[in-house]
Amino acid sequence: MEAYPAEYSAHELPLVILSGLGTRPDIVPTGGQSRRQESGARISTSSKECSGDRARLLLEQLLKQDGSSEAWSSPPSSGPQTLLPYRIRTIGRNYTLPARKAAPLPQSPSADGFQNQQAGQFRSTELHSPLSPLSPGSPIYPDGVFTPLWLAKHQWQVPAAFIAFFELSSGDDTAQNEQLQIDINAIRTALSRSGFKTKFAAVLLSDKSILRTPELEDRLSAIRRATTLDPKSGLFFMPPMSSQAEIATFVQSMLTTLQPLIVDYYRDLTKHSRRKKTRGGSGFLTSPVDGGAHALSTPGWNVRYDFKQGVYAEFRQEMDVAERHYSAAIDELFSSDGILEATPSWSPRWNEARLLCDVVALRVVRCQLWMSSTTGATLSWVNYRARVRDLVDRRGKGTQTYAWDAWESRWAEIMAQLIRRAAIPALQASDANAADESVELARFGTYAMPERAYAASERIPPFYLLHHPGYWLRMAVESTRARREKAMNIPDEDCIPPGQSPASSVAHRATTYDTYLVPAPHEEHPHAKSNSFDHLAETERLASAASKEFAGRGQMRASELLKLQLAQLQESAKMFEQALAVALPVWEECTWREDGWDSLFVPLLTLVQRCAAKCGNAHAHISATWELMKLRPDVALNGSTDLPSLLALTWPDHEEVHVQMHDRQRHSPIDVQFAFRDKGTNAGDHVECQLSLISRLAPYCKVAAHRMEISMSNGETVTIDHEDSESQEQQDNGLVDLSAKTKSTDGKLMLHADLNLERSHERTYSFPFSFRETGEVLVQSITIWVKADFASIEHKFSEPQNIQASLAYIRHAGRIEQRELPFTSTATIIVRPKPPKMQILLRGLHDQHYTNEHLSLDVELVNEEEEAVQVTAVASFSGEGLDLAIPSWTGASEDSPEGGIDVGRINAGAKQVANLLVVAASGPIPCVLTIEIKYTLLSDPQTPLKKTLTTDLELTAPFEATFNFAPLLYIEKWPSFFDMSPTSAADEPEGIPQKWRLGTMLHSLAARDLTIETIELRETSEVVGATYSLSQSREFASQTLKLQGTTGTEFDLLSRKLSFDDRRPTHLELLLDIGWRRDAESTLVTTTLPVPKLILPSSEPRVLCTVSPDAHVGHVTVRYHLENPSSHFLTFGVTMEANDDFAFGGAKFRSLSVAPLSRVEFVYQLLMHGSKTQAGSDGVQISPVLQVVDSYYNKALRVHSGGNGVNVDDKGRLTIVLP
Amino acid sequence: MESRSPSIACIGIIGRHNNPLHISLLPVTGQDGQPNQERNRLEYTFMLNSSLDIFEARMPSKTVGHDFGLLHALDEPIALYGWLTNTGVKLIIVVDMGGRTAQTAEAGKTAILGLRTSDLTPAFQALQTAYIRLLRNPFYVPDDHDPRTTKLRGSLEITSSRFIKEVERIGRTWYPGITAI
Repeated sequence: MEAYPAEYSAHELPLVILSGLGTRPDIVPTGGQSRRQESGARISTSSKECSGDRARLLLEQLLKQDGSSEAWSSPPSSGPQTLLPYRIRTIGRNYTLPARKAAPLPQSPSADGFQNQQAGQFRSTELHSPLSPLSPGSPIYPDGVFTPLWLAKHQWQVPAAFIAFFELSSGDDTAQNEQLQIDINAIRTALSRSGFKTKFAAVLLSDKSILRTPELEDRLSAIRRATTLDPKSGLFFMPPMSSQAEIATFVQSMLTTLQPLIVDYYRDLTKHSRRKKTRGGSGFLTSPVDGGAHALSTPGWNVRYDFKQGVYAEFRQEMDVAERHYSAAIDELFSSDGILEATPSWSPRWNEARLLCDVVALRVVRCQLWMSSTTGATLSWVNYRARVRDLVDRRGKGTQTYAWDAWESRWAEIMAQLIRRAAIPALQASDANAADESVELARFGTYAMPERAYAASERIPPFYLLHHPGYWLRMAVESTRARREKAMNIPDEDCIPPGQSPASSVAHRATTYDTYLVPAPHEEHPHAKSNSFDHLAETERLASAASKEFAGRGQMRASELLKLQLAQLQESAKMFEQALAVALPVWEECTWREDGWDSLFVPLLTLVQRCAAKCGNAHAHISATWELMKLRPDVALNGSTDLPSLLALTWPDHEEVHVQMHDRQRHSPIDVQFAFRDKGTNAGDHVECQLSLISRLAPYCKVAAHRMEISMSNGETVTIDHEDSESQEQQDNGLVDLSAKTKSTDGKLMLHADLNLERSHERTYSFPFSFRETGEVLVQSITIWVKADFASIEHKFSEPQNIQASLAYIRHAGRIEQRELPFTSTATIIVRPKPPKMQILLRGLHDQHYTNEHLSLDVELVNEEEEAVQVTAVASFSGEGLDLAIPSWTGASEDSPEGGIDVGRINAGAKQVANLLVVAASGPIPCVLTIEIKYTLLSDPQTPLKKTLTTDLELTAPFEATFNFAPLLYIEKWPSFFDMSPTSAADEPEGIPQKWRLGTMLHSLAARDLTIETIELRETSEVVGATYSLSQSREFASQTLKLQGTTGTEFDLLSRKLSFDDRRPTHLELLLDIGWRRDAESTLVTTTLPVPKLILPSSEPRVLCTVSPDAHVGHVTVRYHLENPSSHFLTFGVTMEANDDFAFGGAKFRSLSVAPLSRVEFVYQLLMHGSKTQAGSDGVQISPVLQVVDSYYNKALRVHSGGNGVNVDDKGRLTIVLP
Repeated sequence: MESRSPSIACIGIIGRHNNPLHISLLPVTGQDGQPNQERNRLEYTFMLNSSLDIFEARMPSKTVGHDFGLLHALDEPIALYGWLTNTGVKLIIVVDMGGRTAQTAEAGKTAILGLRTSDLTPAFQALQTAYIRLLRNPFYVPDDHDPRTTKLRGSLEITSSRFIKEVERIGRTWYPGITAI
């Protein structure tokens, strides 16, 4: 926009002139009002200026209404009461308005004047504005279409409102009043004399309020009467105000009152223009201005009136109206008989019209942006460009000139400036990206959505969505670049200043070169002596502005691309310093390196490399070359075979330079890869490390590192220094084994190897490394040093993905192969604690362990450490999560903890045995025996080492028991019912004695033979109401219980109730203690088995059978004892069944009555039949069946064995066994 | 002057980590459909690279859908459209609003009337299908074309001639209003 007169591009604001509030030096009209001193009416007042704080505050508030720096867009809340923005100008007391009409031509007696005297007289009657093409003194006389002076007049000189401020003090009445009246009247007169319809208002600043000094009221009315000012809109009274807010309200209300008048002022002017337009240009055409042919044509006048109406509308802030008028003006200019078509293109008027046309188009776009019509604005922009291109092609010098590129660049930049001034919310650079939550907003940073008029149609050319200024500036940059190229191609003969070149060539230039707003060819050519335009500076200005716009919206790549293009342009113009300055930040920050956009990155690197070489920046040159060597070694080395020779060539004598680089910032032509061969290791153990150097250079390029350093996270380092060794055997696979040379010194491993990558492009160095401390260790960085001539390059790799190797060399079946490692983090290793080397051996365990068993275990501790150790051992024993008896160590001292023993010192290689006693649980549960030894090396008593031995013990019960409980005949006499002695002792049992037999069978469950020593019964609880005695039927001898064998014994039980009257059964709870041992040597173990609860009925009748063999073979006497311990008289039916085996002597059937508390014995003599007379191996067995039925209850009694020789099986069948 | 209609000028396949996977340039064609002007590869590489900014800016708020629509229009004829696959691969189509001679009067209007965003959808879908077909090729390992994961050195661009031919075919075939490619 700067190419156009400022008045043309300025935004129109109603001009308000403040008189009597002092002048502000910072507000100086930019217009060229001083250019023309055609003075019009002069306003002069003699009142002194208002001063003091109040006047200052008032002026401040008034200046706040100045809208010249506001955004060019409608304010967000455009209510009906919104105040218009104004252009506020402060003057002192005196002001000169411009002349409204041109001065009449001097009546000079010149020949010309004389001849046209008539005309002159005629003219003098029809005076025009001094800026009209009709006024001979006008700069556009006679056929110019417009001058920016006209705009300056309205922008800076002719106010819409003239506000005069006067102080009104309460003191001196009349003199001040008169002075005021005179001044006000003088201003009014001057204004009316000027011919302008400027609104006038006077503001009286009183130092007292009317309420305080009522006489003020009279004075005011006097002034009003004398000056005939409208009390509402012409005269304002300002009582003293203290606060700023009060003053602000006063200013607001005053301007609100004046606003309709101001709008009316411009509306009147519009009406005037419209009237003149409708009246048509005929009047002017016929008026014989000197040389009618040169007069402005009707379309020209129409353009004037349309433009003026547009400007007036803009003053009124009616942008839609303004846009309509401006569009009409453009159409008028382009119309077939318009100025642009009708004026010859060599005429300066044509360029003037183009200028006006550009400005009008600019204003059209501005009005559209003002109304947020973004797509409309773009459309206008595109259409106008097409129109002008067409016009220049047809009527001008064509679009192949630098002037056209300059115009395109300007036109694009104007759009960028307009968008920026319009501050379109959708295109604002978002300073806080986080706030942009919605999709819409994020999208909007780049381009605006079409406004409603265009949004309806689904098709829209993408370019018509208004993009942010960066895009427009980018277009301007491209046009400027094109302009430079065209300027470069200006032939030499045209570059000579016109004064030194032949006239024919100058004339030729005039027809060839378009100089619309651009310098002439001899000034345009960049290399010409008389060059007046710096294309590169212009490009740089536009490019950096564009780049800033892009960067402000997070479009870093676009911004970097612009910078790169600028740097390339500057390099091509041999401006290496500037190019390097632009390219260096891009080089540092760009994403192309990381993202692999080599096609963009290589040009940048070559540019930096070349520029750095030219500028003497060896550091940047070496870095760029180093990076470029990876991507394009041929380009980087520029014919040399290696870096040193290139540097020697480029920098013949240069001092030492040290270049430090980092893999996050720079590429490297040498890659390093590192792998631990294992995922984990133990402290103190050696782990193999493999470090590879890989050159990315072409085969003919040489590179040699002279040092490498690996630094690990635990602070340890490994250094490999270069060592020239011709004799070093070079294996085909490039693996160099350094294990023989490894010498470790305090956290630093120093190695020497051939680091030259000349012969092989990939080398792997393998060396062992050991860690002392535990934890995770990772390779933090690998640094390589390369020495090249005067430069030493240090490149540090610290990104894990740049360090980790995925392949490692593995020796396999005598060959060395490359294999993929089975873990990903190859540069990380987990160092585990040093493993304990003490061994624990447990002796004395058996295949099977039994409940209650006592185990004596020998724990053998073997010291396999390399030195003597101090050992303590702790044993624990638990089963099913329960802690059982703590094992005890034989020989453990009193003060050692439970289950622990201080074993003491064991020399290296020695062993020691400790005896451990463990008592097994009484139930068959799985148990765990844990032996933990803690020891310290004598050399390092601070580091405890620990070793644990855990053994599972499955406990099994050694045997199970079955019990058989039956009645037995009490042979003694029962006590007589009639014989009760009342004198007997109270605790003497008086019940009937009953005898029982408890048979016990033990079944072996053990997997081996066991020796049973004893089997004993033991009562567990007191028996209530009875006495009893236990006796073993026969002495139990120690015997061996075979595998799955059975053994048993019997116990006799004699019970007697304490009282006759006690009829309850007696309950007996017993335990069976079995004493056994594993073998003859082992200790006796007692296993206790519970006996099921025994119930002894004391009042039930029972039948017992005893047998006594006779002397005769085949004869046997069987006795049945029918006991009735109850207190009832019972009658039984007794039937002996016939049997094939024997014949019996006795009652076949008899009825038997048994008195209470008595027993009856009845005997049968049995005689065996033939086969039964011969006793078999296990004697003779007969089964007599005797049925005893309780007659009363009709209940059969079971016959029990009453003594030896009679067995009763489960089914109740009685068997008599005879020897 | 002959009327022109939009055509695809360039197709860019950009990897998950913003690395270029493939760039196809389609020449400006004349009346007979023959190329009469080659395009500058560097210039289009610049364009594709700069549109990554817009992907990045919109990515956080883009939750549903692949279609990024218009990324930006660099000039009157050149506009870039974007599409994101769910593996983070970005497809970018550069449309030249006057890239080919309008075969019919109707086609000539589109250069003036503009494009619907949905006009590009068939092309993007076809590209995505082609890319999926490429992924199904057992010899194509996507990780080898990713600078963060690859163990290979050198260019990471796609070399499958079948894929490249398909991309070029899509580029040549597309016209505004095509329903399927």
